[in-house]
Amino acid sequence: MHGESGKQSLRGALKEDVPGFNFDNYARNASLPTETTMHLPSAMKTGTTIAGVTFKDGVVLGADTRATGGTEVADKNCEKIHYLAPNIYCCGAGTAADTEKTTEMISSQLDLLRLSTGSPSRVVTACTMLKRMLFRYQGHVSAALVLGGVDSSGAHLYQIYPHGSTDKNPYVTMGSGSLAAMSVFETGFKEDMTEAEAIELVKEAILAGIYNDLGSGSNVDLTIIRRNGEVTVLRGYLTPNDVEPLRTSYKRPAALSVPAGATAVLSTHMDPARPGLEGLVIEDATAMTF
Amino acid sequence: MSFELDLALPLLKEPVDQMREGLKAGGFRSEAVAPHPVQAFQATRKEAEFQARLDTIARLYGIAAAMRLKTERDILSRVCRAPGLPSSMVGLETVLGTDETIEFEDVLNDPQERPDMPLIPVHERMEARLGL
Repeated sequence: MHGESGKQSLRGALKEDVPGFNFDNYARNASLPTETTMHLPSAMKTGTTIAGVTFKDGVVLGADTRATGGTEVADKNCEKIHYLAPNIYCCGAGTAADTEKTTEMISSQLDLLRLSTGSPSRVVTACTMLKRMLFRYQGHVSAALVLGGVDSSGAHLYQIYPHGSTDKNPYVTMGSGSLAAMSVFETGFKEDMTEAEAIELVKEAILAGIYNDLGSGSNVDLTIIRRNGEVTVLRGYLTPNDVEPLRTSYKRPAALSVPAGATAVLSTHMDPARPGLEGLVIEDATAMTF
Repeated sequence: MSFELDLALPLLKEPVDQMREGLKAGGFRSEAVAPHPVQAFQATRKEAEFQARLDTIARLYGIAAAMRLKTERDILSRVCRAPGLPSSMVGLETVLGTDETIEFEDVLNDPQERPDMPLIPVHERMEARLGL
């Protein structure tokens, strides 16, 4: 374990070169609320409505684009549909960093597996890798995922919970807006829909989450993966909450918009850092390894 | 190099080198705090998984195969450079099969990509390891 904060004990330093997660600040963070009056900032979560539906020719994944940190909106247009493989995409709810890093890791692992086997990735492979990793971290990696894709055995859709359990269904929703989205699915889903019907259904489900859940908001993103291998990523498919019109219509005080040349220039003096440095070229410097 | 985690009373497990570590050292304060649950089971998981694998191999293929695997791992984990220097451990990764996997340990906090210089130089680490 590590010595006093700020000082490195030899015993602690000899064990410091361990890659992976760094728990140095855990003890300090745990004592902050009890020993001081400070409170920790909350991790950025994606409150989220994510949903997926299988249709006749493939899978449609949808997500909202709001990321919250506590009660404030941290990102009004974040991307929640992550790439795993050319034929597999994954929507992520929960702690934003966890979903992003987990999906990146699994994407790299799938890439490695494709290189060593020479065949396209299967959705069930991605599902197994994700559930094994999430179970290994016992739910501390807070990532709830909707995994969808098309492979040689058809179109598949999985939902993966943070502790590692999975479900395979024709339509799935996850996140804080999952109930709102699921209500739309339960009324509107039918087998063998066309692509237009599936897109409309997912759009309505995500909108239900956006309007009825505080943790979800802003735009609707869609990704369509078809059986013939085509993928269409529709980022910002629908933007019902665009702030641009509001922002431009607001009358700001004239003092804020100063035209160029409004301030008179009295004198100009330029001092180069050193004579002869005008053609300075910065070369790549590699750190000296110790 | 194995990292044991003892959640019982903070007992003195090895002698404190007060010349190097200071009079108040010994790690009692930090050892008394409960570690993060992930840290706790990460410390024991690798060894436990390896033992389970050895057990499976012993039941399927016989004790000799299991002992051979264990010996290979022990030998290959000793072949490395001086402490603080990078060692690629190619043999160990091949035997354990970790050269074909990507984990968080490969990506996060790579000791070779630290922005600061290591506080303890190679020579002091070597002296500490040799007990000089």
